[in-house]
Amino acid sequence: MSTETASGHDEEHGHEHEHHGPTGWRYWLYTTDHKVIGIIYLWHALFAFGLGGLAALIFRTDLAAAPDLEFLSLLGYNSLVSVHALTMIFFVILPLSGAFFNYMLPLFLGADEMAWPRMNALGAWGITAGLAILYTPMVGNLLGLTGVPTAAGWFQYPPLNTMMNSVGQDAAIVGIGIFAITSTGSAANFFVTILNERDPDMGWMDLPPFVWFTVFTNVLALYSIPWVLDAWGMVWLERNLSMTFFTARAGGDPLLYQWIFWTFGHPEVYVLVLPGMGIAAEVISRFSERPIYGYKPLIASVAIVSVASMGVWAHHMYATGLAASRYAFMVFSMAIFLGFGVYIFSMVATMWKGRLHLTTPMLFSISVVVGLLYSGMDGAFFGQPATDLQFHSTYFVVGHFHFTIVTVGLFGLLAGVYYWYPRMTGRMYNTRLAKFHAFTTIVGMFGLFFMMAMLGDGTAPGSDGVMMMRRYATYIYAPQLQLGHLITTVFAYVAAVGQLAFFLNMVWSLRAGDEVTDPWDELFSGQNMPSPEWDGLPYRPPTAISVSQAADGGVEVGEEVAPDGGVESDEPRDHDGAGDGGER
Amino acid sequence: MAFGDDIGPVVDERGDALEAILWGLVFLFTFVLFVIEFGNGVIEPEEEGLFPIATIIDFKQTMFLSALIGGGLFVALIVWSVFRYSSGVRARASRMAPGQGRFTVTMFVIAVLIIMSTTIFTGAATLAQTDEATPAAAAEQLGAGQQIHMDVTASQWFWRFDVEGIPGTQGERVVVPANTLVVFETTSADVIHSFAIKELGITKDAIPGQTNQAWFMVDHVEGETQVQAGDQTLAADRYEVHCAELCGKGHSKMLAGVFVVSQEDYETWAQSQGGEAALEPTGVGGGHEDDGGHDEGGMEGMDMGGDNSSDGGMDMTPTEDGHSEEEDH
Repeated sequence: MSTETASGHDEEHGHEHEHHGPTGWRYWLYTTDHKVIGIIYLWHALFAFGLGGLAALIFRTDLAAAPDLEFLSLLGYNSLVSVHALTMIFFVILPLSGAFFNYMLPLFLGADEMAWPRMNALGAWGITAGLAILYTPMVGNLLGLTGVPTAAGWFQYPPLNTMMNSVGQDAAIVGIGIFAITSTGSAANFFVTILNERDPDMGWMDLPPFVWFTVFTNVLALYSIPWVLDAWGMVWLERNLSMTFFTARAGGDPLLYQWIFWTFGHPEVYVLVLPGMGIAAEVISRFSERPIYGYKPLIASVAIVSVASMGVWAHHMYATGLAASRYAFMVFSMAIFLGFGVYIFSMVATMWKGRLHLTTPMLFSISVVVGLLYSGMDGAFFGQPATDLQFHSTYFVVGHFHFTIVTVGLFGLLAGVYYWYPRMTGRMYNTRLAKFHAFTTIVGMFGLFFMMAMLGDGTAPGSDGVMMMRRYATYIYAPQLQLGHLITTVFAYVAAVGQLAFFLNMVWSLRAGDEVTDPWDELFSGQNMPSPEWDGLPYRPPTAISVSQAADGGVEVGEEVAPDGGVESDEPRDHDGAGDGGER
Repeated sequence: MAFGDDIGPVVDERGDALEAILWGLVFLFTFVLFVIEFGNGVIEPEEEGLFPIATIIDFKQTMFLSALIGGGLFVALIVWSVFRYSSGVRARASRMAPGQGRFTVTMFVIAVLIIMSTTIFTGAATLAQTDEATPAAAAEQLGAGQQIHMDVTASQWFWRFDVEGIPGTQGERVVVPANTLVVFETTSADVIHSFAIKELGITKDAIPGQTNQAWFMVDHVEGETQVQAGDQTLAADRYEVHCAELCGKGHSKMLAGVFVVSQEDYETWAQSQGGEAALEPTGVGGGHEDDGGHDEGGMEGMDMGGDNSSDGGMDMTPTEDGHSEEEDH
């Protein structure tokens, strides 16, 4: 947290509210201001992104160096992978989306604050606490004081994690546990803010897609997070108070854990991707100069995936000996295609025949849609129990969920970082560095996860049809996979170089960036494409009619348009003949 | 401002044709990767004569093909949009007609529903023929006249195989006969492991306090490796056994090999171990049993397996057959 942020923020803050609070470090620590808290979230996320990425680079390099281990130990490898996963899932994507929820929600809704500002502050410092506790054993281990951090994977299956005699296990459970508790409060806060603090003139069907995606994200968070607290709480009790839940020889059931954990695990994935998808929907619509194609179907699709996500948890457990219930979970898993399919369709149709401004946020947003196609098509093989028999626990899974979490979830959030950076700091980022970041990230990440999928499918160059197994510190069973790992690691480094440019840009532009109020204003001038966080309230969502009228020069930006606007269109009228003017 | 001075306009786009082409190429790259990834799955070689993988691959290829066409189409549309509709090559956006989305979205939803239900029914049929069938139904489907039982026990970090009829426990490798349905029960002595033979399409968790059953069959031996039975050298094929669930630090080295030899050779091998080849009849008609013993080139066996898995697969209603099989016993 640099002083630049503080000053950058103060300037902005000054002309919105009068500020009489403490200064210096107390300013950050005591704050209940949603904007300051949003920035605290943001810096936590970026810091953790660096840590998690560094961990990934280290074990990625180790994998490429030799089929057997090169410089990590077996346990060290498992540990680094586990920490990478926990960091990225809990301390990067969640805080990054939280940053935008905090900063942007009140602006979108016309509220002066979040519903519960103190709860909000608690959420921010929960990230610090969780991150510090998770990484303490890492530091301890490097100093030779403690064992390794958790080495049981992010899913933490007992009895493996109850048997591991390391302080790292408890640290992971307690660290994530504290973060999960505060996150539950934050999720409730975000949800209630949308529910209660909305501008009275803003109806549900006026909400920009980002707000709708935020609603569903936080409903899913509220539903899912208690499950992980249950599961890990029981593990903690078993480890520390000798209670028995999951130990078979003492009468427990190891599978019980998986039922509880995956009830959390699947909705959690949607908590990770929905914010990014919401931002991408905002950005694609505005930067294509077209209103969202099929706004209501889009909202319905998010509702479908959110509901469906609560009913598919057992597709993570097809190999555990489930019998006929797999048919039901397969049907639910396939139903998810409907929801994400409509999202993809809506985004592509919005871009089609639009006028695309290839700015950095737009490039990341387009990648979200491409990433979702990869992720969904890979994921089909895990929703189907028959193909899961072969692909379970191969790198194909690794490729699939990285496509999901990174190219959909993270890319959408990166689009948000660039889109709103000027709004949050008052300064423009360096566009060359940003384009370099976009280029290396899109090429590097897609190449990286593509190679993972190829390794997992046994189709990587030189693999000779052998599948790379997941969570393997070594691949002594098939040394010919080294070429595939080498290519994968090269892509990882390409992506890493881009992230360096990203960090540099974020920090440097705080001081050196051009001062701007709305850099997108010029792109959108003459169009009726308002967004409340930039243009303020009152806000009426852009519709086919309002956009057309603005293009004809007839309507001021933000002005309300009569539903029967009667505009000529160079597109054919609606095919089913029901010309409802308010339809978007 | 040193950095900001020489970057030109603050607006983050060039707005020329070069920009559209450059970024179009970047997204074309993702399209090419998409075609390679999913195209490779479509042209994956058949594994005839290996159960259950042969059945799974049939289904897998269909899935890869739908993904390639359905997903590839949309990636292609995105790439085209970037090339063709970018601000550098286009003066203004086409207008959207009010209510325009209704018809196309409905059509799209119907298309997705059709593809979804096709996948659901084919997937269910594939599952019913492979992992969700009973061993007896699988034997019927494959025409396997004989079966053998094996217990697989996992512990940190090795496998133990107790095959019926063979005294003692086999460790780093286990020998099983070809043309015989190998039915195994797997469990664990400590943490959760998973018994996986990816080449055969087998993944079954080994869970403490629980026994999971599955089965596989190889109907030909190509003789790419050997098994030593006393002073005799027998032709065998090796299938790699993996642990497919993180089980601690030795996880990636928890490997073993399943060595498949012909039924005749299996008897020789069993005798050399001081045991016997404990093959049980499955009750399936005897026509195929005789094929088992002598697989010189493996061609005969491969043809047989291929035929059976395809026509047996389509005509069969697995659950019913499974029940009738059990009643016969």
